[in-house]
Amino acid sequence: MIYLLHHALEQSAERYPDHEVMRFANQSLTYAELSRRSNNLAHTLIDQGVQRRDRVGVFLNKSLETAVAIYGIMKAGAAYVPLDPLAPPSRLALAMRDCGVRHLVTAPNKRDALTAITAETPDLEAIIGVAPGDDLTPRCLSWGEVWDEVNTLNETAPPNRQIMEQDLAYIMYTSGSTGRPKGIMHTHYSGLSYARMSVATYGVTHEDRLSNHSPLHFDMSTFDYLSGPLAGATTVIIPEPYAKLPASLSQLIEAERLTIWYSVPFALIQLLLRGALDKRDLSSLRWIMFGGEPFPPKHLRALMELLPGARFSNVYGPAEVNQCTYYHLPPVAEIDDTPIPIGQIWDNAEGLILGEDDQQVPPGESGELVVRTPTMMRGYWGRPDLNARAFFRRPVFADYDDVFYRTGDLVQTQADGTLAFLGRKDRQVKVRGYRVELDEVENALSGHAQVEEGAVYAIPDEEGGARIGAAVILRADAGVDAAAVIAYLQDHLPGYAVPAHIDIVSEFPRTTSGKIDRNALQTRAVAAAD
Amino acid sequence: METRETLKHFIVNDLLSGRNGADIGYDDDLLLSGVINSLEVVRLVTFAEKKFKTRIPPEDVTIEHFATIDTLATYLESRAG
Repeated sequence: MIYLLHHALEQSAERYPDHEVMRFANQSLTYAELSRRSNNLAHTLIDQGVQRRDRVGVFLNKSLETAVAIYGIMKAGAAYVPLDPLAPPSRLALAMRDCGVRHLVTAPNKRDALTAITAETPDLEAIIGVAPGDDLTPRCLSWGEVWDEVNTLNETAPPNRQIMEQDLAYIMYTSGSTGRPKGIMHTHYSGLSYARMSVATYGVTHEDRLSNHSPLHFDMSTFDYLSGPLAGATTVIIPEPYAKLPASLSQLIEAERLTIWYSVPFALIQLLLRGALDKRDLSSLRWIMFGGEPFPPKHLRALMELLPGARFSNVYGPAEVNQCTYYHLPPVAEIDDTPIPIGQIWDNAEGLILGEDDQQVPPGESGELVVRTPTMMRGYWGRPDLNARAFFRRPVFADYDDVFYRTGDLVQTQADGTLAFLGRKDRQVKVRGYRVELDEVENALSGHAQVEEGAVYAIPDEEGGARIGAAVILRADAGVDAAAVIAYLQDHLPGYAVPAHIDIVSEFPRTTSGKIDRNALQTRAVAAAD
Repeated sequence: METRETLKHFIVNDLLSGRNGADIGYDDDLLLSGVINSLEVVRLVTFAEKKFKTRIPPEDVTIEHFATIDTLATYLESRAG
């Protein structure tokens, strides 16, 4: 019976032992190898004192070890905590202290960062993946020792741990609005529910070859690392340099014959603009999924025209629920410049649209989307304050509530029944008394033919309202200036929603997943205004 | 050697503007985490096109050519010839 995430791996290892589960650069792991290596790691972790329900950090760049680490940790009965391999040590130490990480799985190239991290994590007991040395106080065990120790024990079966589907499988840290990261807790139940539903929705089979573009600490990676192995598919981990060079990335997609692509729109827009797609044969791609932020329709249409053999889907869902809606794109001729809908609530989930009073809005009106789904998190680690606000409870019987996650996103049901995404609830500002959706302004900005990407943010004024600020990256050959873009917006938006000033920039600050960091833009603009 | 020096000067002083502090060698990996990012690659392309009066077609902006200052210089010199 399958009720844990690593059961899914074991089932595929029985069915397809010699099939590749993970590929990275010129290396690969078969299902049998990943199963055995993660068993080895699980025994080592237990030997090093990992208890059921512990949290174990994963601090690795893209590599095959990432898969060994997350399955090994889950088999040891613990939850894996993926840490951003590029984040500053103090921020990582904050997350590790927050959920009490005592064990960490890493690699020798992280040694310098580890020295800084361990100075701020007194409770860290053991580090797997680096050799001992004077610079590191916790016990250290190199990967070589992990394999040697287990070979001597001749122990290749998984450890016998009692684990239940309600035990935590992983905790992902995301930036909180106050800058304090919050840990999203997912159980084997919510993780496996997501793996099952995504495999069914996209018809993933053992013949599929999935992209892993997302970093491990970003929630999209669960499709690549958890759904893929459930289906017996092969996941191709994209080495970090490829993400910087779209023309190499398109070569990799062709050479690896990827069938399913999943990333933020940014990666696909880069492929479209600089990926030399007309020089590549990408006919192996059968399904392209994107999510995390809106995809400007003009770029999406251009991409769809270059890849006529692929289906396209807009995938929506905060990390707190994995995924909760999908929108399968119609033929390209039917797509105009209105924002791409987020589509329909997927099977075995329920969504409500609530007004300010927590009552459902009349059909067609906008409100906050709340959802309940088996793929939903348990809550934020150690944050009763956030957990009290994160959920909406609908009484059903006495002492029996349906529990919905408040997405904080504004949506509206359209005439055809699909949901339109209107923006973040906290991206709604008042300008001279008028309510403005910053995302709506941004969408209009991205509609300009010479604009490669645009970002819109609020600059609070002294009266409690806001001015609208905007920054754009123009196309390389653009022959327009800021005044021309503003004139264009005046034709497309009410006057109060038009930014008074637009910065022409050559790049945006971005989050590690590639999304535009609008908070950083706003902070910069506020500082400049002072 | 001039091509390498010109590229290095731009990368160290303009792209990284002192970030990473130290020197970058001609055969150091530019694409490793934390050296240059995807948008800096685009700026490097624009700079090289202007400076060496050539056009770099999108399909040539690859790891093969942009891995190090050496590989990029070799590529640019082959185009000049």
